[in-house]
Amino acid sequence: MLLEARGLHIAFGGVIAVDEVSFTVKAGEILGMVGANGSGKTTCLNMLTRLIAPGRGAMMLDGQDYTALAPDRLVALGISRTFQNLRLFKDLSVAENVALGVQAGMQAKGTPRRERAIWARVHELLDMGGIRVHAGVLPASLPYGTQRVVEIARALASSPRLVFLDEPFAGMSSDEARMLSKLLLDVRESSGMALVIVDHNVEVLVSVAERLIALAEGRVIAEGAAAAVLSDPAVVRSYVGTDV
Amino acid sequence: MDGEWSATLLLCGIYSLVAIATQLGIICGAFSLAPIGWMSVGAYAAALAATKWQVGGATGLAIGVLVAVVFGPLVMLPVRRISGLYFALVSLAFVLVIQSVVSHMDYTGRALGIFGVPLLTNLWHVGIALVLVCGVAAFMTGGWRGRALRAAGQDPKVAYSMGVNVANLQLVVGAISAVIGVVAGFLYAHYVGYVDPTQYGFAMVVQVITMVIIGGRGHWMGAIIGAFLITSLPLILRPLAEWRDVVNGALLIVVAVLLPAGIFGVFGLFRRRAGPVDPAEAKAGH
Amino acid sequence: MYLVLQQCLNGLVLASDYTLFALGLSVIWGVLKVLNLAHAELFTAGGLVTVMLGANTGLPLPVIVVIAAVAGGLLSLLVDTVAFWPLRLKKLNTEELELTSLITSLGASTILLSLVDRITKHAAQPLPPRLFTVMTWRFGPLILTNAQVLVTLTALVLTLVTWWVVRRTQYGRALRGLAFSPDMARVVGVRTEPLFRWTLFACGALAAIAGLLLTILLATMDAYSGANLMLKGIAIIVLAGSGSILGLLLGAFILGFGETVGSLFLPSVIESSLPFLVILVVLLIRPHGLFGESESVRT
Ligand SMILES: Nc1ncnc2c1ncn2[C@@H]1O[C@H](COP(=O)(O)OP(=O)(O)OP(=O)(O)O)[C@@H](O)[C@H]1O
Ligand SMILES: [Mg+2]
Repeated sequence: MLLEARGLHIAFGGVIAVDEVSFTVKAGEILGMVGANGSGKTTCLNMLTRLIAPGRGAMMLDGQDYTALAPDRLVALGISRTFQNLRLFKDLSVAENVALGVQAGMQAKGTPRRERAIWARVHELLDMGGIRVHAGVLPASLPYGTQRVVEIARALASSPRLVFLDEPFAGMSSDEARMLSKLLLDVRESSGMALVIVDHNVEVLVSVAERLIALAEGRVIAEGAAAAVLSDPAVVRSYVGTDV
Repeated sequence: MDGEWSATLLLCGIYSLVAIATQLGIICGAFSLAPIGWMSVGAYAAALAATKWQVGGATGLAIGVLVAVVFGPLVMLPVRRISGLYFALVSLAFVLVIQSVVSHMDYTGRALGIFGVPLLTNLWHVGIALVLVCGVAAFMTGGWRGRALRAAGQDPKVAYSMGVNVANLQLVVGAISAVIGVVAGFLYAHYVGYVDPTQYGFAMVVQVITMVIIGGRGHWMGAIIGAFLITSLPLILRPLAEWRDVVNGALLIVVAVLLPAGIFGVFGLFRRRAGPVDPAEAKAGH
Repeated sequence: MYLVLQQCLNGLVLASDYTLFALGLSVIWGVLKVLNLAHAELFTAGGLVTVMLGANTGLPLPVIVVIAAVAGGLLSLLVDTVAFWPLRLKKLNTEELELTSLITSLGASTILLSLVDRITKHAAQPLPPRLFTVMTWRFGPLILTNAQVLVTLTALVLTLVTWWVVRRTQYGRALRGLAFSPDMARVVGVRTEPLFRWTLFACGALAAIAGLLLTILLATMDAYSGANLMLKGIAIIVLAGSGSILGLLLGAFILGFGETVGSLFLPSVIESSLPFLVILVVLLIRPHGLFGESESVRT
């Protein structure tokens, strides 16, 4: 098992945001995570990437418990992520943003962080994402979908084993979404990294994810093959219940 | 060289040092005015070494630097909990508490300060110090280290998730900028020949902020541009000398509103952000 | 013992004037998210208008009070037009706005300070004696002057009026909405720009009146009257957090009594660094002030 989350739990004030969530991710697997607004998906990712400390529960990568590790040590384990509302460094250029990911990966592997090597890898990644032309500009000057690609390139840049993507398809046109999902599948193919993708766009999500996990009010209510999860009565109820 | 000009040049150099120290803090997300307090520590170390301790200037400097290395990170510590304007206020309070302490202790000569610091500082000393400090600043803000530093300053949380140990980085910057401040104060005391508490108070804080903002926030060269411009302004615009504060104030407003990245920012547009371009591509472009 | 009582009395008077100084500063901080360093010079302007009109015209004190208040308000609007309004147009986020407006207000403050310094010819200006005749009352060994009574009562009344306006009127409700979120206020139909302007005018007027009162109390003013108070003002509003008039009073009293009663007991180094110690301790322990509500953390 690559990732194992055991009984993650956290409450903010009186609100239980995530309640005893357990699941696993195999190496090279793509897991989709769905759930209505406020069901605790982002909070889950925040705990799994140690941006917030879990109230209870444990997280293991390859059997190694990293629950108590500082967030900056996770890159070395091979974990990276993107954010629901874009969090690119606004005063760094597109290339510099990606370079941060590259240098983090080099640090993790213990290779010397030479500028030449960093930039070579940055340009490779930019080419892969089709954003080389934007290398020198500040992210804010780019369209939203392109910024998303930049953020994903930054997350992939550290050559992680496990990437968490928080709503990567949100705000993308269907063409952009299709291109991105192809990119993600290609990357998985070539590097064998596992992905955990949170998104509301179930259609696109199902086209990339092998397995789904559904949350409602902080709890896992269904898990398994996409078709089974989406037709699960509890899942239908949680969506319909919040939509009406 | 004309005496007045060389004096101004020397002051430009000393101010550049403090401005760079302040700038380093700003780059890593800590708007800290503490370097002015450290300047005062350096100046008093120089004065005490020369008058009370009866040790050589070098020993005085070493003691000041030691204090800075130990306590510099400590003064930076609150930035973990308090950010932005509030941290600036905490660091300002630090500066003013130091000022208040030295102006009430007999040992430091109270409000009169300490006279009789030997006049040793010359342009060479300042020049060498400035080159060294520029080297340190370039090292800290260049390459992967610089990107990590700027990332920490812009969004500490994301920087953490990119493997940057933001807190450690800020403590290191706290130590470095404190040492630079001490060196600046030491040189200044040995230049003017005395220290007194009014030298390192609110007026100096305003002066240094003005330099950093006008020169350009976010790059050590901006600090140097600002320090040279503001220090030599009275000399350049001699007819305006008595309107100096008005000119400074107006510059501050104009730059903050119209050129948020300062004078350096105007050149910063040409900075290479895309990384080195490989030769084959450069040829194809032409 | 009588000394302590006398110093308590003096502390009360000082605290009143500090409150009045910090009041405008605090409101502007709460509503515009601006730490207005030029507030000090609006205060000084109040004193300057008083001594100048007192010396060069025959106007009676009440008229001068009105003129000083209006002058302070207009000057405040001028500062806003130059230093804050352009930043409002840029729609910066709160942190950027706080730092940038600190810089622009520092610029405005530097300019005004240097102008006042020239007008006063770098010297203290005495209050013309015709404006105010000091009367002294003795209660046993305690001494009370009519200037002290005037300062304390005026400060008390103006503080209460401000509290009432902010907490109990339509205008105050709009103001608090504006402090919470200008965008939200705009959505519910508050015309924000006039509200900003009126607030700035009122705070400038308050500062000028505070400056006038201190000039009467000390019978003199100079270019640095306000600048000397600035750090105390900052300490007070830091201690109070945003939007707490009770906290403001407490802060003013700590500083006022620290300076008077404290001078009897505290070593002089502590007494003179009291404002900075207050800033340090409060921010290190409770970053949002003793009375401010902590903002929720953004993810
Ligand atoms: N820092 C916080 N403080 C207080 N409450 C929080 C915090 N973070 C999340 N919550 C609450 O926890 C719950 C889960 O939020 P979360 O952001 O994880 O949901 P989500 O599934 O990502 O929703 P969405 O699809 O809208 O992104 C919500 O009720 C939210 O209000
Ligand atoms: Mg979410």
